[in-house]
Amino acid sequence: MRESMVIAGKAMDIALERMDVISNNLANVSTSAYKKDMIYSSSFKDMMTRQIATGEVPEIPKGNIVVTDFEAGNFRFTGEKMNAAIDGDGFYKIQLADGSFGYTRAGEFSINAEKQLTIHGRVVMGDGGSITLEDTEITMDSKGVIYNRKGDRQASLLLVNFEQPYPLEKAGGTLFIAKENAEELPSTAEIKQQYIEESNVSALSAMVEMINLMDVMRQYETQQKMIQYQDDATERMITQLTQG
Amino acid sequence: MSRSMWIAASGMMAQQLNIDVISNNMANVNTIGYKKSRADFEDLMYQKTVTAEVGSTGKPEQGMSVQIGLGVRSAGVPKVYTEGNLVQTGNDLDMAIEGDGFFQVQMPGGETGYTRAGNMKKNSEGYLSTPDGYLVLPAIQLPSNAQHVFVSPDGKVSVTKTDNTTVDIGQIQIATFANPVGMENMGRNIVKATDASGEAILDNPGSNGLGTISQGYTESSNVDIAEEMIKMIIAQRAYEINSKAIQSSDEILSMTNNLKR
Repeated sequence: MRESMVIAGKAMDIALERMDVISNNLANVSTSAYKKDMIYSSSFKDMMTRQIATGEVPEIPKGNIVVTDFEAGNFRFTGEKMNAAIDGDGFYKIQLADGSFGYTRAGEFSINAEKQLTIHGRVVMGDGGSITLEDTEITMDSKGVIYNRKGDRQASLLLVNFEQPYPLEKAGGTLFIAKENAEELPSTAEIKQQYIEESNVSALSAMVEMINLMDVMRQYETQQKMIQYQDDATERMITQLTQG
Repeated sequence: MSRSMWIAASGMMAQQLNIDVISNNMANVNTIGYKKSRADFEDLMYQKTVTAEVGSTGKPEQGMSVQIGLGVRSAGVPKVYTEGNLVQTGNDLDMAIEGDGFFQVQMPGGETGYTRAGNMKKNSEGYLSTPDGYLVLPAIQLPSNAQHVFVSPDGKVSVTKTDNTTVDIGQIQIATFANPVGMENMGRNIVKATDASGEAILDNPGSNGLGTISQGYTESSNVDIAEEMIKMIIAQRAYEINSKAIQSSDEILSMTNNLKR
């Protein structure tokens, strides 16, 4: 098979992967504290220039790289005592079912049957392990200290931060998992009770995603045409050669 | 066949749920004691694809892992227990709880239900009951010759009879829960205790931080129409943008099929 056809096919695969990432961002426009993914593929032009300069045989385009954009989403006032957003760099620390830890910024709290503070049903860590509360009538100060309705200190939320770029991977459930050797640092971020951090796929970035969608489609179409031209050329070659 | 199509479909389903919740809130804007709900979402799992590249030299190159999210799912539809406005009705049997707490009612199955809707009625035997006829607990019977009913802020119920004598006929007790959001919704403004909500803590109104009773008032729903409208507009647009992603995926698939002419 002709190599240019394989290259075009590979570029189509890459376009499909971009499409997946864009769709996932758009599907999560209403997910609290969702962080959008950006996908980059090694540009064809760069590789062409390099190849012309070095005289290498054209190479199949490399794959994509997905980078998470940790920019904070908008803060929305909800008036609910069990909502708290992180103003600044930091994450809530979550204990997962298997005992390992995850990190999230989605401050949609509730308490479970054991009266432990949870986010989407997963136990939240305080400065002294999991946090047990009397009820949901709580007040949080900017440092994450939780007071009960009488004003007595109950516990303090554990806020952790990492060195940037964040050594974090997405794990679903708006959770991040730290990569190996990632070191937890104390966070100086402030807690804003009764606020929710929205998804950072905002109206503006939704527009960017729409443009990306169009871009991906046209790229795909270009590659499709490339394959078809190659096919035509091959066909013509065969007919002309067999005419003689 | 197309991953992005399913991802966008999960986005559309999420927005559909969002609109369902908003519609129910809007439908109940005039329901006494109704508490609005909110749809929470979280992202689905991520698929890691390691693209092992084969370079022009025929040797495999260092693969780069790409994490692709698979869409969105619901993380629950919790109720929002903020207080609604108190509306004066002037009706003796209308009561609102100012602060924390629920009235207890006896459900047809014998279970105890809890409600914030204090638009009480008198049933055929003179017992205080909800508009659906569920008995309010502890049961309070109004004498047949009662002329006026008085409910004090701490829940004492007394009546003035036609002969101008006043008698105490009962005490309203209200219940609180550690986690009211964990309660199960039964419809008819009634919620039921669950493991997640914890046991009911019963006490007289006004004691131990419980709310007090305001006679002649009802608690309107805590639905803010402007807020719901804005949420609906956003949800509709989000639905639309996800449908565009599906359309784009479809066009891509059609281009794939058109490769072979």
